[in-house]
Amino acid sequence: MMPTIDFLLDRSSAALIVFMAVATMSGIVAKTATARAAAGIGGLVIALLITISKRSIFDWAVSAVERPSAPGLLLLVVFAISATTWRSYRLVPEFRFGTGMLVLGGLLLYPGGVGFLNYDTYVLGYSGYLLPMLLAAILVYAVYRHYFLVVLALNLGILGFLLSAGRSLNLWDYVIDPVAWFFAIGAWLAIAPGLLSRKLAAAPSLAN
Amino acid sequence: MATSAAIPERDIQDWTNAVTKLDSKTLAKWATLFCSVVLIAILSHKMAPRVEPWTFVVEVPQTPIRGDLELRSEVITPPHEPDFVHGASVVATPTGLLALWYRAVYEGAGNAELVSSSFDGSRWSPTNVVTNSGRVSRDIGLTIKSLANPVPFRRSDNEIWLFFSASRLSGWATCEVMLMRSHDNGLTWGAAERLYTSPFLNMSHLTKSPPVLLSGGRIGLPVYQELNRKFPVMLVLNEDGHVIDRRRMGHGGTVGYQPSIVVTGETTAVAFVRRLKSSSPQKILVSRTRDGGQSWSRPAPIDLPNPGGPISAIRYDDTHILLAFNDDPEAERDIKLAFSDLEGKNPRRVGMIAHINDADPDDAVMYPYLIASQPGQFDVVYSRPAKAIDHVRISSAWVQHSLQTQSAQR
Repeated sequence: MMPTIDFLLDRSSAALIVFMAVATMSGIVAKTATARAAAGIGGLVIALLITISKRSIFDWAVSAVERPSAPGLLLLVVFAISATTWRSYRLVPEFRFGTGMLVLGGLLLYPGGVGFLNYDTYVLGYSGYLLPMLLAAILVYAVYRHYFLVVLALNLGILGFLLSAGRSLNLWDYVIDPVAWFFAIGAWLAIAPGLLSRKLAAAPSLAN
Repeated sequence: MATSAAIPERDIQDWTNAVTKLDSKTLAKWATLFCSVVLIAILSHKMAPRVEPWTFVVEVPQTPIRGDLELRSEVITPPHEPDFVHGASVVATPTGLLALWYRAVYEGAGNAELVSSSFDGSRWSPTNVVTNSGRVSRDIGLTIKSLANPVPFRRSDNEIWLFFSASRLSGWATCEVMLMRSHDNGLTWGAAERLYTSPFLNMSHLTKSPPVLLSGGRIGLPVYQELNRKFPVMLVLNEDGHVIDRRRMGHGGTVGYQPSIVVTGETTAVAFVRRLKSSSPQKILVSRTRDGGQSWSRPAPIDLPNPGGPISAIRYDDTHILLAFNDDPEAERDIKLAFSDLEGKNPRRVGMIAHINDADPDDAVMYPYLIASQPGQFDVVYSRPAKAIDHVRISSAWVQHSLQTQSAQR
């Protein structure tokens, strides 16, 4: 059972990325959600069939992006749905909160974890109370605001860590991953200008 | 009773709906909060730092003066080896030695192999394929490209663990660390397992030098980060071989890589660090710890040159470290042995054990890997670019004789 789950999890990020990339690009010609979904699946099949240096494009993608964390998987699913339905989640507060937390979490983790900074924040995921307390604070706020998908994703990640369901013994690897971080940054690059312009527009009227 | 009868039926219905709606919403909220609190409580319990901080296991070797006064050297690889071979290492076995290295069409090429050869004291056996890119890919369920830098570690009398690097894409920066286990001293090997070492796609950590033992059956595996900026790292593995912690060595910054750790006390150790080609001075760097490897000092140069090649160091006796290194700031023209004190200071050259063929302008002697295979007996394996792996056996008698000869000459 576990080898099958591992096999699927290892390929889930790559599959969703290829799917959403092709589904999004197909939007130029495909006008319905069904057509875009079909294009996404077709893209997956093509990625499986075309080989570069004796490895399929899909295999290259799998080797490149690793498996997702629980929040990362949820985010990719949301993006895949968005690529198919063309429904934007930018104005959904839960989406903004979830992606915002991923952006902040990644900023806390990756610069130190890969050597840009001298303090290695990755070690916080091995033991100690700081990371659990940060997660607790996020969970309490998410419950308070009824962001149940965020709660679900985080709780699944924590549960996976507690059950040692993944291969890593570091909590960070269950609650965030670089692919999710990049997608969350992308989301906030789209969210921030609108948010900023609304704030600026509201500022003069408040002053009046 | 009379009051409730006075309330219109429609109001009661509205109130009931409101209570039901409120209840389901509140119930969901409290249920998720309860689940979250329970999970956080269990998580906090699991992550409580209750395990004693590790210390080093100190093994001071006995080094009686024994053995030949002559060096003994052989080429391990077959004559006219067609492939690129590099990153050799060696471990003592009950019957002699087991040398391992990687082989590919060119450095970093796909379909690479980890190969071994055993030494019975008189000759090296034909090479044996330990694993290859295809088998590792099947073992871990991900396609990997190349293999490199096998590092054997004796876990028990019959058990050898083999750490190595595997690149998932092109380039060593996409490497991750793997582990294979043998329960019959290297005759057969189990499936490769992935070590989780990095938050960034588990990429860009490579092996080079042997691990050190830590208290509680834990292991300190020296590795290095390749992507972005190279720096040395000590991974802490539990008894089962899973990464349970890691410590960045060298106090931050871009400081060098491929650390070779020598334990000098329960809480003290020195690491000899390969300098970056671009850095100066062109000397061997040394990082030290005084808290069991929790923190490491910024690497400082010692008075031995380094052309940007790895150093291999072991504990020689109760007061000395023995290291194999390239004694040239520019190129890997020779391999020498040297002593240092337990701080990694006051280096003193012992003698040369390998030298390039002066008639061959492309020759080099690279990547020395030094072990004490028996009390008073040392073995070094190294590569010549890029078609041969060589072996030199050194005795403590040769070491002492070389030192005495130097003293007499002075």
